[in-house]
Amino acid sequence: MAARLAAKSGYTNIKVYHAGLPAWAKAGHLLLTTDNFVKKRMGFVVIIDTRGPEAAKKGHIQGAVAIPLKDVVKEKNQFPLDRKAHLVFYAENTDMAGLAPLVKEISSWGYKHVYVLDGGYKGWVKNNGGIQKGLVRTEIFYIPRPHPGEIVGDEFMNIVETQPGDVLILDVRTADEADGGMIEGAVNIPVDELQGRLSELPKDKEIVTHCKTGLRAEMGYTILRNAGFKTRFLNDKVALIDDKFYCCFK
Amino acid sequence: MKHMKTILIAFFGGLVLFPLLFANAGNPPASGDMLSKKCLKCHAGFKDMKNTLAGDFNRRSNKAKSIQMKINNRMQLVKFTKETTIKNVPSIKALKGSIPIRVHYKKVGPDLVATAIVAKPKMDVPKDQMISTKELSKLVAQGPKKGGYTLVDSRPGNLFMTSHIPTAISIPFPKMKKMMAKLPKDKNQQVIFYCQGFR
Repeated sequence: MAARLAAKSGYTNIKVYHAGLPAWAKAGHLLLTTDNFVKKRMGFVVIIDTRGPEAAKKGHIQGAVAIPLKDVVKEKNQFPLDRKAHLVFYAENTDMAGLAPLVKEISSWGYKHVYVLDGGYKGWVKNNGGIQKGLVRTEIFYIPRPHPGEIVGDEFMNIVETQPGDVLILDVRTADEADGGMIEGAVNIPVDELQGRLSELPKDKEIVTHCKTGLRAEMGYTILRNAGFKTRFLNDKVALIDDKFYCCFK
Repeated sequence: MKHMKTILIAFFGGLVLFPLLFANAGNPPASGDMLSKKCLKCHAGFKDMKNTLAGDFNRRSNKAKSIQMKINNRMQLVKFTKETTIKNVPSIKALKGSIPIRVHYKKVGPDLVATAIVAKPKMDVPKDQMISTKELSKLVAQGPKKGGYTLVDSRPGNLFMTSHIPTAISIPFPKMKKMMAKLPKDKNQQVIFYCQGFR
């Protein structure tokens, strides 16, 4: 433990914030994020330029949406449904005093990852972050970052419709669930039997797993991947009602 | 003769390979680590435990009676049963987020079945060392100079990069011995540590 190590080296006034970062965030306190995180997460993060569209026209972080600080709260219904979405707010500098009340309010809506960009726009430019000038978006949009191994819903639908020869759809739900209807061409092996039935599966095809919600599909993917199969999984909800197949909603 | 040799090699090579190929199918994944490096850093003794997995909890499915855990850069599945014992958390449902766990298992057919799941126990911190969210937020509002403190984020660097408490410096715990110089010279100054927190 870090505190013990510091005590050993002679530090006398040691404190431990035992509740840690999640408790800090839960209390609605502000967290800082960094340029590197925003760059790494680009495309799968909501970035809001709180300086507003006028300032943003002269230059804003690539992909940012411009909403003036005083108006952000009014746009509540524009925010993503997914409360795990990463939201990054920035001002000209690290404006903690100005952004703190906003972070508190937005955290209270249930968002778990609300951050303020350390260094603000100036810091971003200084660290050679990508910028855009001129037209700026004012409507929030959000795409969740896909898990490793995830297949996009559209591509899955395409496989279901065209049934290509080099792909096998593996239904990993229970036999009971599968009795209620299956996707045409799919093979059913419940995920809890999969480890023992790997020999039934072809090694020369890509195996795409699905279940009802995506949870077991991912577990099936893990088993197959560890066993050396080429595989992906559908991380979406699938419903089979009266033998009709409804797919790919989160 | 040459042809004969090639055929013989192919034949015997095939004999050797044949059972290998098939023995592999259906066996538990022998490939990959069973103990995460992160756990071994402090618990080298895990190496001597047989049939043990150590890593971070990831997901649980009741329908599949399985949990998925992360070990270094890979995932591993383990089944659980009514007989599986759970330690340090009230029930298997209380395993959330990416809490570190140790799993003792037995091999049942092709599967790994957990006999015991041991969650990382709560950290024991002396009461006089604890600092509350309220106290800390007051200090952070003052800043390190005026507040007379150094705030240390002990989590891995990538988590610091994602988000951190304002005014914190990053000293990931495994690198701490090398990074001691980042702590204040005055050993009587207040040093506050935090990490991802404990349940």
